[in-house]
Amino acid sequence: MKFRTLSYYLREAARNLIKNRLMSVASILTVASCILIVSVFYCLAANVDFFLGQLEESIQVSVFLRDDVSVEGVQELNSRIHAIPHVVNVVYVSPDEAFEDIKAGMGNPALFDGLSGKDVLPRSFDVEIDDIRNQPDVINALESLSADGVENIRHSQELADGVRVFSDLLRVVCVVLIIILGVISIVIIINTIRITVNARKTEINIMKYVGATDWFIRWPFVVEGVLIGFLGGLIPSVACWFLYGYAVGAIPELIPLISFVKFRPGYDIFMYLLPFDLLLGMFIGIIGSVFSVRKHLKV
Amino acid sequence: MIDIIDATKVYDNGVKGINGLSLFIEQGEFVFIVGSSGSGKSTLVRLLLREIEATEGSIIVDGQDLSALKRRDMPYYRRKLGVVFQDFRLLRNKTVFENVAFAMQIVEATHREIRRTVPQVLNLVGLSRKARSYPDQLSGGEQQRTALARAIVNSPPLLIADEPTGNLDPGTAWEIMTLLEDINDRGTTVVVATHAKEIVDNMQKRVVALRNGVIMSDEEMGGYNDEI
Ligand SMILES: Nc1ncnc2c1ncn2[C@@H]1O[C@H](COP(=O)(O)OP(=O)(O)OP(=O)(O)O)[C@@H](O)[C@H]1O
Ligand SMILES: [Mg+2]
Repeated sequence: MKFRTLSYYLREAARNLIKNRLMSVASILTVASCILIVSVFYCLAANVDFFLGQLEESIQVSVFLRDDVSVEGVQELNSRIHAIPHVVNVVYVSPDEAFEDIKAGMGNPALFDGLSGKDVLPRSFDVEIDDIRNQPDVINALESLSADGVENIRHSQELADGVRVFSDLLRVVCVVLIIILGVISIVIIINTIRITVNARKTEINIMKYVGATDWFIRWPFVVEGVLIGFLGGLIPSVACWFLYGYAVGAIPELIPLISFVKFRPGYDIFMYLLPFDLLLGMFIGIIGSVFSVRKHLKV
Repeated sequence: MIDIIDATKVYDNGVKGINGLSLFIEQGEFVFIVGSSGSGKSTLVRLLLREIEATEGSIIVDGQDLSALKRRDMPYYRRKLGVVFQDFRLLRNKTVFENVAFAMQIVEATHREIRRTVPQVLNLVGLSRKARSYPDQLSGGEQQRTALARAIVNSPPLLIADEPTGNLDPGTAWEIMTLLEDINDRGTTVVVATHAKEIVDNMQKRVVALRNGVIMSDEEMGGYNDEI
């Protein structure tokens, strides 16, 4: 493609956008609305996912050791637990540390004055697992270590199962919703762009008589679709960015009950959402214009 | 330039637009196609433009057998033709200059070529002063001149016009026909389908008369036969 032809396509697209500005604005807003819905949903899902992630992390497995295990034995166990597949991290918790934790969580620490950790608590490991789905396997492996000094394993299988089912469900719902909304927006866009293309039916017809190739006719429409899609993706992303910032500040104040919930940081969401929105918008725009022009090219 | 052999066009509804028509047109000729309404003039033109395909027979234009023309080669075939219609068919959102330049942009002419050629052609059709006007701001005759300029700007070997003066008053019609004659004088083969009896009678060109899709008469220096 020659440069002057490229510049012709760009000029034509810009010019058509401006000439039919009402229709252009309508198309942009249509794409923007659909993508806004997808974006808001994505923000919600990302936060639920984030929350579940936090929950998952907090679901640790605690492994308590018998009192007769030697210091070397503890080290030995530490490395053997580390070697279990899916174990990400193992932290040794001395009785004193555990005791301090408990004291800190109590309303009246003075109650425990005079007691030391060793008197009341066994030594333990906090075992972190990569994915909650693998918890049963890891528990099995840990149980086989009982001969080496593991006394007791504490974990919550029900909570783990609950979190797992919920996050699986969330992912499926997410994908399904994005597909449905994507298809709906493409259909709407094809119809919107089709109206503008229909208005230019005679124009396309004339171009064909003068000997324009299909792509020569199509390219300005494709560029137009890309521009419409780009703006239609940018607007909701920016809107979402501000909405999100506002929501993160406002929600804990409005509903103090859930003020402990941590939100996913904005950049962490928009790092993915912005390019996704822009690409989705441009994709919708291109599909829309190519489909709409197709019919008229058969002259 | 044009060699039509036993061509028949049957429309979807069974009507025969032309029926077993044979016609040979030499390079550089000026030919009128005349005939009453429904006689098949436009069908013939549309066949030549390859807007429709002959049901039977063969049509060869400038060495190209139209039935063998592939879809992707059609644009390149059409660039060899200049086309003019009764309803002008200008791009309404482009100026006169841009309408003419458009035909050159399609063949990827440079800006320089466009800036050089378009004014020349506009001058030829007498529209230099209207270069910046939009079609809506022009008279019918001026719009048809623009269409003519667009049709010849790439110097096609063949110019085809379907009732180019159908929407114009007699005086303006004469000017357009004279322009077509000028274009023919410069070597372009010109085929004009028309109703304009007076003009045909006066111009003393070859006249092919159609009726019901069949050639009734074909005369050098002919006139518009009232019996057709
Ligand atoms: N698309 C079509 N479908 C069916 N029949 C058609 C079609 N186009 C033309 N015809 C028929 O073919 C015949 C020839 O039509 P054509 O348009 O070629 O005539 P014409 O000589 O150009 O007439 P006019 O002077 O009115 O323009 C007519 O009987 C017409 O009804
Ligand atoms: Mg006709």
